[in-house]
Amino acid sequence: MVSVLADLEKMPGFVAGKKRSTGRNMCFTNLANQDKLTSLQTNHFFASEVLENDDSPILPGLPDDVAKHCLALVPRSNVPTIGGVCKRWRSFIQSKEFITVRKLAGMVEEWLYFLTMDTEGEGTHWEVMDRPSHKCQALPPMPGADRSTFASAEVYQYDSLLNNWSRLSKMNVARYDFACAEVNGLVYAVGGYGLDGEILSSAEVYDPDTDKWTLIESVRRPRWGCFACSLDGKLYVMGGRSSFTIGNSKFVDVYDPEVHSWGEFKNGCVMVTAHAVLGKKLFCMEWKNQRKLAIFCSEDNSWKMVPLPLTGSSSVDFRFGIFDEKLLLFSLEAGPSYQTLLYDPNAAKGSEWQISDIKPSGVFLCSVTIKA
Amino acid sequence: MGSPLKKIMLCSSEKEIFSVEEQVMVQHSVIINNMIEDGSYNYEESKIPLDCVDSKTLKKVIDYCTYHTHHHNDNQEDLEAWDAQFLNVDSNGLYDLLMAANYLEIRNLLDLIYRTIKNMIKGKKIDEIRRILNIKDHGFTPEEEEQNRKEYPHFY
Repeated sequence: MVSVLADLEKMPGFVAGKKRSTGRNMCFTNLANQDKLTSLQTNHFFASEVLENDDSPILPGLPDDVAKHCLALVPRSNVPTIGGVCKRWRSFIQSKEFITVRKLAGMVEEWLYFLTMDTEGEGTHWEVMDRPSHKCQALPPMPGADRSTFASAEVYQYDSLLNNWSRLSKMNVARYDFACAEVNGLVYAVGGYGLDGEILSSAEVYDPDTDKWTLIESVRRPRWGCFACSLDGKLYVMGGRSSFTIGNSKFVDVYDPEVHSWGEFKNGCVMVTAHAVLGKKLFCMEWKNQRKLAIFCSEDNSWKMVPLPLTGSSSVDFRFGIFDEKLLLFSLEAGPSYQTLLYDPNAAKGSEWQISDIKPSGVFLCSVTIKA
Repeated sequence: MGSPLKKIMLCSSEKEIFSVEEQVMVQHSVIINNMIEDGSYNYEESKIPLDCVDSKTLKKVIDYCTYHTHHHNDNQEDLEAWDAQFLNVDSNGLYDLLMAANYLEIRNLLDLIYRTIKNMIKGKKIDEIRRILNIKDHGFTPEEEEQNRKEYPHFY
């Protein structure tokens, strides 16, 4: 089982897997936080400028700021190739400044990634949807990792620009079936099972600039099978259970990075099979209520239910994706009669629901959207 | 907008003076347009010093602005063909033009050059890009370069 999260152009992947049949995967997109990430990027830009001054020019004959604009204009699909032209180009592509310049040039492309079951049903792989054709292409396999262990502290990062994986620092605590999300450029991992199958209350945060995991205050009670998301600059943890005997947890743990502490309230949804954040809203699907979208608004901690425009058989199971500021609902059932639904929360009343032709190539577990 | 008959003087880095129809430059260069509008250009005495633009480049820039002023009604295809011919220069010539267009804020020329440089990179193999853009020292260690070539042969 793998849980992932998008850090704009990178997605850390966690290896922790004994089985993936439950398919409870955490996936997260940070569309809502891009402005804050930009300010981080700007700081980084000045730091990297100083370091790179001695290096050879990006394009011999041009000042670097102009040359950077030239490189930023190249389509995203060409970036893995040009990362091999020279070291200077590669380090620029890997810097946060690259995304900043691409944003300024209006060249940012939104790509949708799926974690998909292999056809033999033995393992999983990541694939990316090609934009014009909507066909899916497999990514290089995630490296390393003894996937037979129960819980793991290993973390890998996928660089969506260079199309390669690299190993990051290990977490302090090996985990399985934990919650994970990015808030303001930092990655959080909360709860899950530990190495001996114990339920964890520990939580930690990863800083991409220092490649370090740091333990933060633990959640009030252990929980596993939960998921996390970022809303309004805070980390929300919902779902899952606190023990094997007590039922599903309705508690919502909320971490405020500004004051480094947890708060809680008790109206979370339970047995969530799919979730996604779009703007300031969290969209969930509950296992026992597959015909309704549960929409959480963090401004007043309220839930709103929106019925799906479906009739007929009730055994439908959806996975979510975010694309073009809209929510996509992918049916897990194969067959032409199961179409991908699209929910546009900003559309005029009555036309929020549409059909989309975006479809994963096979049974998929979660998706990540990365703008780069 | 300047009157069609008025001329202005541009001075290259080699102190060569170019006399250009005012409206040609006003239409294309934000900087020159601002100078004319705010009255800082004196028709009797002024010449606009362009210390970072050499004569060869300045002549090309003036050619571009002149052609696009007088042919702006031509069909898109013809204009594009002219542009392609105009920019058929080596990377150094292209960079000089880019810097001049940047300095004079000639936006359509700037966009055109950026697009041209992008197309020198887009869809090309690494060896080809290095050759076209004159990148002699790639900065990778021999091991890194070999590893990359082995792992991604189709990039080269």
